[in-house]
Amino acid sequence: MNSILKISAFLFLVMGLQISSVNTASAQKVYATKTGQIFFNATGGIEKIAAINNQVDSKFVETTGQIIFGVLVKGFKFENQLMEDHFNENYMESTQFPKADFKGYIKNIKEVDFTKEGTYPITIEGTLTIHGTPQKVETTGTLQLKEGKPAIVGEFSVKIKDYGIKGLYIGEKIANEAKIKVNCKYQN
Amino acid sequence: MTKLIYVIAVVALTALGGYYYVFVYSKTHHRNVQSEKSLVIQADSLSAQFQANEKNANALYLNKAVEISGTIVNIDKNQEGKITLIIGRSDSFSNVSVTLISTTPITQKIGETITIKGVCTGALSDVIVTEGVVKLI
Repeated sequence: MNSILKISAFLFLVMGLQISSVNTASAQKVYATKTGQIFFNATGGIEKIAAINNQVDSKFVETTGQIIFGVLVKGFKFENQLMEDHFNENYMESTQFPKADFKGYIKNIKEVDFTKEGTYPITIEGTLTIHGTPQKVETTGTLQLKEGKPAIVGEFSVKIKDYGIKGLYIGEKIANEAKIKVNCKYQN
Repeated sequence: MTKLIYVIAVVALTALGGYYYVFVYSKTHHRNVQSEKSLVIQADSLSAQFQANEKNANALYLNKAVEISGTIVNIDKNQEGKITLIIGRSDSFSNVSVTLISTTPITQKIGETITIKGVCTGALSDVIVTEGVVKLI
């Protein structure tokens, strides 16, 4: 009788652990935004060549640090309409390549305490695809936690020609490297 | 001599015109989607077309003025303070995400029907429409 009780207790314990692990897996928290911001600046001469996109679609997983950003090239707004037209038609060829995206991981997500407000330095690594050309990138930034909502801010540079973008003025009026700044405030 | 003056004048005027067009006119004159003829479509249908075949949908709608109608699923503001709307169905996998040009709150509420004119810039998890203005019907 004693051995039956012991076996039953063991089985309950095992089942309890399994249920607990299933609950942990299903509690994976995902933060998302559809209104993040990306700025880019490729000024190479006197004339400012800069634009902003306010419809950045991004998600990240709290437990694993998996992160994605998606942006539509035609969503970049310039001060100068002619510059915007040239950017889409002559450089980014946005009819053929309408999207740019990044898929990767926040490598040190475990160092972020999601229960405590603050600014945490992060390192992001993954694949950035622009103009249909994927390239491995690694950059640093910060993850800011305020009122339970995270925001990711980061800045990095990309070499325009690495993405198969060609054009007359690259290296002259247009800088060889474009500075990209990300600012995404996520919802729970 | 007169011919030379004439040539210099033409070159100077052309350069001045070019400078004005590139650096002045293009800064002050942006595309006005509201004055363009638009493609009229239901929000559900637009998102369904992008879900079914994104390449074909891009060929039809990318960078085009669209007038979309549907039910408001969500109202919010973007990081610049502009009004954003999700139009479609609350149980749908993909809807239409609209950014209005205005920061002024709209009178319509969630669950009500709305018509917006804007420009379709493609699709991410939702179809994206920017530079939207609410159409009064």
